[in-house]
Amino acid sequence: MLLLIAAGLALVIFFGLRTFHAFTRMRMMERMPLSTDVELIRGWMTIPYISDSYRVPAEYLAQACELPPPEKHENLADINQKIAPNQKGYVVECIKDAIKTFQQSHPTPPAGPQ
Amino acid sequence: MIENLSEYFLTWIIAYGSPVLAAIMLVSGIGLPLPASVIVIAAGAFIRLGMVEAPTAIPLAFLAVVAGDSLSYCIGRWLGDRLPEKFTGSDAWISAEDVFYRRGGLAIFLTRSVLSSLAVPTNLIAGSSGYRFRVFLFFDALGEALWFALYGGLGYAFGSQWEVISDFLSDFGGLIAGLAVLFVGGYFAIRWWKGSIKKPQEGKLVGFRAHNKINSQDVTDQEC
Repeated sequence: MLLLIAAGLALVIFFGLRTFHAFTRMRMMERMPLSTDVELIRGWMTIPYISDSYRVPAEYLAQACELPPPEKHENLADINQKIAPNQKGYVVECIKDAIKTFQQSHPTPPAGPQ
Repeated sequence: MIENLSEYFLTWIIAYGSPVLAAIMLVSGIGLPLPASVIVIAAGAFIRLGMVEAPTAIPLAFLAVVAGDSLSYCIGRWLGDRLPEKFTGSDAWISAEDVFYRRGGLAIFLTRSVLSSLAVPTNLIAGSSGYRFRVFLFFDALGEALWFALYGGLGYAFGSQWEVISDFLSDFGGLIAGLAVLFVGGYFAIRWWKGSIKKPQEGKLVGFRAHNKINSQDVTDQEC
């Protein structure tokens, strides 16, 4: 039972701190404008997903970053591995820049991700 | 290269939709340690974004997770029948069976939602202790429906910012589990300190199986 109490205390402290940090991050996100939050883009996302989320044409993104036609299940990390295996995160950063550029020249709705 | 397995799941769900979501829910219910809560939150967001169709995704995923839970219940039943008598006949085991008999429904319901990290152990205990399958299925379906509504609903509400709420919920779930472990440890510590752990007496309830005069052969044939 001492082991249970010790394990419980360790879990509470560990996850308590993480919960606090996650909560403060949530509150920060609430204060940020919802539009153009390209920092949410991750390697697991696909071009069609990003196109729908940020309402930027997929063809524009592919052209801006000189991407080959992606397979259905190919995400940004897979594309990065294909075209720039020695530059981790290259495609993600390129997509972010392309979206920012597009949204600067197309300021009218939609305002950003849903 | 994506390091996190859950990120592959997210990509496949976006690409292939409901069947992948259902397969993940089924495997998670059986007992493989997959990030099911994160996937459900993400699925809610994907439905909001139009990447996944709600009319097929929700019922398929729900049925799959209940089927997975039922399979892990059956695994528990199969294991329970094969555990040595020195375990199943011990005071601790009989007390645990007794507690589960009295509080099992609540435990099953809560471990689908708030204490989801304890879901698979609960399924195994339910099966191995002979808890009636129909009752297990009822509380399981109820709990899973609440889980889908809560987590999926949060993902839907947060949309493309679902990862923020997902991180918070994962850590909060860990905190709840830690509090549960602390509570259980404290409970037994207080009982030990008071010297009040009782042994089962003749004529009193001595465990779920004895209470219902269930033998393993009858139950196994009918329910699994």
